[in-house]
Amino acid sequence: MLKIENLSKSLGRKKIIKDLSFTFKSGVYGLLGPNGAGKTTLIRCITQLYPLSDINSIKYNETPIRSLNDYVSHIGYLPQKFGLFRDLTVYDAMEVLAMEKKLPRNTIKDEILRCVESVNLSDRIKSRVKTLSGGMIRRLGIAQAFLGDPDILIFDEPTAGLDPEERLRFKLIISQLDRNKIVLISTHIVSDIETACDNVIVLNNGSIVSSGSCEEICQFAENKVYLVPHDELNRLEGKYFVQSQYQEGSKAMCRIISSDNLNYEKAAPTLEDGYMCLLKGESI
Amino acid sequence: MNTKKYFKLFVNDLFLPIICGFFLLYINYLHIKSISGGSHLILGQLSLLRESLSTSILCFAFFMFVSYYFADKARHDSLLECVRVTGSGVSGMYLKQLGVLVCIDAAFTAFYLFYNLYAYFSWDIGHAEVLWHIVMCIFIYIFMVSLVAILLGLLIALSFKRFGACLIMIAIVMLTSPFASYVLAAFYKYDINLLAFYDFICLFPRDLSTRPPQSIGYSLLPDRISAPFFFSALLSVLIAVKILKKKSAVKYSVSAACGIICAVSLVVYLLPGMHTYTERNFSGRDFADQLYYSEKSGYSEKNENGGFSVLKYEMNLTVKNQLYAEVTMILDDDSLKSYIFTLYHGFTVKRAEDQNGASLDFTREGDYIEITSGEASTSSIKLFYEGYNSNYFTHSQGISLPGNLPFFPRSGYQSIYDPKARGFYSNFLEKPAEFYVKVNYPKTVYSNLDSAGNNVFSGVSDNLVFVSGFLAQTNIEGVDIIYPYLDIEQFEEEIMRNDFTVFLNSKHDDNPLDKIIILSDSITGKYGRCNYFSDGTIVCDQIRILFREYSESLVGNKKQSLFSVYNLYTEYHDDFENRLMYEREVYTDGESGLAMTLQDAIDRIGEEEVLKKLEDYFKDNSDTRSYEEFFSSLQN
Repeated sequence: MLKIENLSKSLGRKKIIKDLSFTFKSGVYGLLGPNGAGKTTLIRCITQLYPLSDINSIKYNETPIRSLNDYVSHIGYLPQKFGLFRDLTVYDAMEVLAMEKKLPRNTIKDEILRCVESVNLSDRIKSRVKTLSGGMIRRLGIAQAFLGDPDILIFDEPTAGLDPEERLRFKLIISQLDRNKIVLISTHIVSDIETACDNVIVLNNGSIVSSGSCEEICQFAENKVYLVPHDELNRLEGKYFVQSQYQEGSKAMCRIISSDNLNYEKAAPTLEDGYMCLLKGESI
Repeated sequence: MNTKKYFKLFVNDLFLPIICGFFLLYINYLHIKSISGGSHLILGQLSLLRESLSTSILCFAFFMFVSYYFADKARHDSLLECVRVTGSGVSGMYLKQLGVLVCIDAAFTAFYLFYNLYAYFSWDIGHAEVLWHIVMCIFIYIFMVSLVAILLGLLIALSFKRFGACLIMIAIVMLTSPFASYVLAAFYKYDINLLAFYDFICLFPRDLSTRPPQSIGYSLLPDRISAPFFFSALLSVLIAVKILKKKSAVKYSVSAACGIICAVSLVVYLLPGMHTYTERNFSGRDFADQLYYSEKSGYSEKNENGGFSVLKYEMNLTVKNQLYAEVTMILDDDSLKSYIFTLYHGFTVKRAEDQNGASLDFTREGDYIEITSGEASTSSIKLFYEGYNSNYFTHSQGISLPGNLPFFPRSGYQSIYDPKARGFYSNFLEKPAEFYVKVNYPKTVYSNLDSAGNNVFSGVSDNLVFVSGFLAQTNIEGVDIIYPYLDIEQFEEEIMRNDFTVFLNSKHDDNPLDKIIILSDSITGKYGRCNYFSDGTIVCDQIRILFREYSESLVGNKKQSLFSVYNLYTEYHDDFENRLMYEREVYTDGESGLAMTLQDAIDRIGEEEVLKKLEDYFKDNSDTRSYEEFFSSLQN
């Protein structure tokens, strides 16, 4: 169990995380939030990359993480910007990280093979890292997080810059993960976690706006999602937010969110609708 | 195992192996060229070491850039953040990279050692002390300098982004290159002397543009050894602060250990007598004396008979980083109220005692000391003093104390330095005295006196000389010759024998000759090139032209310039004509040079008469006229 209590973090004069509390139990968590919401800062606090002003603000199994000498061995971390030594082979690059993680020497080879296999890159294990595509390197990033089978897995923007096929692959990998672990996936792309996560945390301006299952987040947009023809948008009065546009036959349609009771066709809310409702609050 | 991966990382890089390969090829080329070119026959047997050490600056620049590039790879490849969240953290990664670079440094050092050892054995040097010197020089000036560069490169990689880092490294390379001397000279023009500071930060060997120092080798004085350790420790502290986790015990331990090394190194660096090699420091070598005795500095010489003589000197000399002396002088007159002595100002007198151990008052003004007698009569005076002269050195690598440096007290006030000739006069005791000298020094010391034990000497003479270093003793035709054995260009056995025979054939006086001591690695000035002592010792800087310098040395200090011209006229007339021609070009405003004056006198009075009078003038030691007075009397 990873418990965050009244965590605050400032970078320079700016307060990024504001008195945040949350308890992670086993399961897959999606950390949603716009750019600058404090997702990466929160992750860096959890991974000890940033020092904590109050050492009791993050506890792992009831012990402050600062007091745990082996805390990082419980963490598998894929940072937002990730690379490996480009001049090494996949195996060697993974071995460097395995050694830095202080895995027992006799287990390293099997661990590497297992992790690389889990991201479906076994056929490239002898290739130089510099010959891999961006998506493959990202997958290797996930594989290196698996090294040592840690209890907590943290992925910061894991699908940023990936093509749809690689994003699908990522979702598949996440869905196959052991649900007894704490898995935290930070992203601002809602669709990445829609099916993969058990719980969603919505973060904005350094605070948790809401958290719950995907369905619970969806509920925030219940009866607020309308399908409106595009050319009728300017006739609408009151507050609304255009969530997306799409084509229905020859007709351009808009999916809008509004708190007002509109005389248009309603649609079932998605996670993204719920997320937007939470972010926009009373402005819609 | 993991370091092996970092080796792989180094080897698999696109540039690093190529750059290393080229540098290694260059080193090989340099050494092979030097060995096959027979440079030792001209420059002496440290010529290859000189070649090696001349690449010290290159090693520094090379390893700094390589270290930066290698250490920056993790950041360049976006791996840092990931590694930070591991058990080892970035410190483990950087330490392993450091390990790889140190191994490469060691491999390069091994190349240097290989060639130098090859030269040592193939040139048949055969002196273990030289072997040790070579190994230590390469360790300090190649391995340690490269290590400092590696740490510096790593620190720069940790502190700066690529553009800033490159600018800083280029600036550092500029400051370590010969370009720096222009910058320093520019500051010096405005009375801002940064040389002492530069001397401190400059880790590279000196004297590389000239022949290698034959009797002492390159500087391995504690200041040179401590400098790279100081910087290594300092950089290690800064790196530890950067890469180790905050408030960790390891961080404090590393910082404390490195801090202690820094402090010790700094203390060692600041010890007196540590900078005798640093000729770029204007206060070092002959510059110090030149400046001190120049008119500009307000120096005024004194000449005064003390009214007493020293009958016997008992000396206990200790040479460490400088000379520590206890000198007891038995005086021939115990009734004087005060006793005046001349002692080089670089030796600080700590205490003066009479024969009963009672302290005596004394005053010091430059080279001159006046000791006031106590209430009882003073039959002997014991002086305690310590200090050094940068040019005539006394340190752990060698001793060069010739007679013309007043390193022991002499009765009376004497002018000891000729600023025009940039050298010390050849001053001798008025009457030979008895000496008993013990020199506390780990190496063999040679002296004009007779050996009375291990570095203990006794005898009667009008002067003293002590030398030590890479010196050997041989005997040619009954004369002991002490010479720097590494200088095979001049002192190879057969060459020495031939030169000595030439000298003997030219020596027409009856002065006894027992010993020749070659003074190497000191800038002697014209008076120090050759001196004859009453005990039959010649102290000179070479045998090759001893036949000329010996006869020159027998005339008084003030006659030597004229004697030199006279010698040219009588023995090397073509050279005399050349000098005459040169003087006629230079002296166009009514003045005349010595050759012109001599030629003029010969033209007016006649060659035979002028030369006869000159010979009498040179032989007569009681004739103290200057050459101007001599020529003026000729006209009358």
